[in-house]
Amino acid sequence: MNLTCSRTRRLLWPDGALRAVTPDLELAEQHLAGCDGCRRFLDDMRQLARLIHEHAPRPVAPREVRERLFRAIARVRSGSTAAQHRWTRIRWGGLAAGIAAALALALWHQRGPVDQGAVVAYAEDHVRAIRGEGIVADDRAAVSQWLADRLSFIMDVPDLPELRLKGARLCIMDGRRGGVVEFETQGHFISYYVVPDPHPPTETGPAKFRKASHDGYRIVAWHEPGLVHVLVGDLPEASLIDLAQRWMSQTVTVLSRSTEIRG
Amino acid sequence: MNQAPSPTNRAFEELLSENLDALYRTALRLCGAHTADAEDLLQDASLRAFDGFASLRGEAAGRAWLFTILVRTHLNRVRSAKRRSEVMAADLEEAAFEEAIGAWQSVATPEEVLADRQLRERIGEALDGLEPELRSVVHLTDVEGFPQREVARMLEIPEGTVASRLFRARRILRDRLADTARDLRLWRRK
Repeated sequence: MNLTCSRTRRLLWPDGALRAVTPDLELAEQHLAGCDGCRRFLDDMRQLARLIHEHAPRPVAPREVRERLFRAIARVRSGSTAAQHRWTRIRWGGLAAGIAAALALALWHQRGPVDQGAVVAYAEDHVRAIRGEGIVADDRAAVSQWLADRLSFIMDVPDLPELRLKGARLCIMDGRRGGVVEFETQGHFISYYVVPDPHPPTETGPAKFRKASHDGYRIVAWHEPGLVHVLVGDLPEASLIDLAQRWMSQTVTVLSRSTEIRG
Repeated sequence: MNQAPSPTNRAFEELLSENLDALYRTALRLCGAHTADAEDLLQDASLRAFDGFASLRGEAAGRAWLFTILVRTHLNRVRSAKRRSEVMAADLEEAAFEEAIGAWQSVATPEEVLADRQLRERIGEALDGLEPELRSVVHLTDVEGFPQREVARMLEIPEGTVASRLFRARRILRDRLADTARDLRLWRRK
């Protein structure tokens, strides 16, 4: 019985595994011996595999990634189990916090040139230091209550259908305690910051969006009297602005009831 | 204060350190070259691995075990519970796979592969441009060198699916690299 080329190629598909010698396999070998097309096919598969293996980029883990990773393991090893479970969220949040801190400083406080790298590093480190403060929950009421118990202002938790609530935490921005609510949408994490801002807005009229980006993250921010709102994520800019617009329409309503900063 | 690592912890850290670059680039590939997501995935998977290291039997299996945790952590992140067992819509069934490999046209083969930065960049771009399901298979198999059976276990899919995804990925890569190859005169007609 003769095998077809298709069957032969399937039986001899180069998968790196040892095969038991079966009658089918012997037939396939016989077919291969007399078929240039099948020999070329198998040769092409091996050559493509070799090309990819030898020439695919092989980036190495940056030193800071390596150091962060082993520091995290050391923390877990030392018994800080809470850090283990929160680490992923906090690490991302730390980066976002740094970005937001730099942005807030640069865009709103307008106190002259800012060493953004130092601000990012400081903020990230600081947020890690307060990693004990956080709630993992998908219930808006629980997250709102958690924030209300810890903040000097009322921070509403937006309710947009495409966003999955992940939790909330606190942040310190330029020495002021703010709230961060975290969401996920289609594999993207989004953080929503609200931070008190003692500086009066330089513009009057409706709130305007300010946009920036850093290291692949896009940032959209807007100002309410006494508060800065910052939305950080790796969504396309248009998507983030769309979220911010709908978000603002919800939060403005809430803030108009509770714009006064307590404490 | 941090305690000194126990022998078990030390062994884990050595295993992780030896494989960290490969895990990092795999995380990058799984996350579509998105650095922040890749770092996050690597961190999450490493801490999960640290948790479960005591249960690992046999250090020889350590590399595959680490990669399995990385891949499954990634899958858990990107798949909803409903989609977990979903077959990729375009997966070739066995009969279709045989038909496809039977129809392979051997148009070109590498004549001389140069260690060319341009080629490396194009291959990287071509890999990143693959669908995630194809990208993970071709990366784990062709870049990292895991046997297809091991990749099937990591991804929790049948070996035949690994083979058909690998074939599709290689076919796409060949087509996408054709221009580069011609530019670099890497291919020759048979």
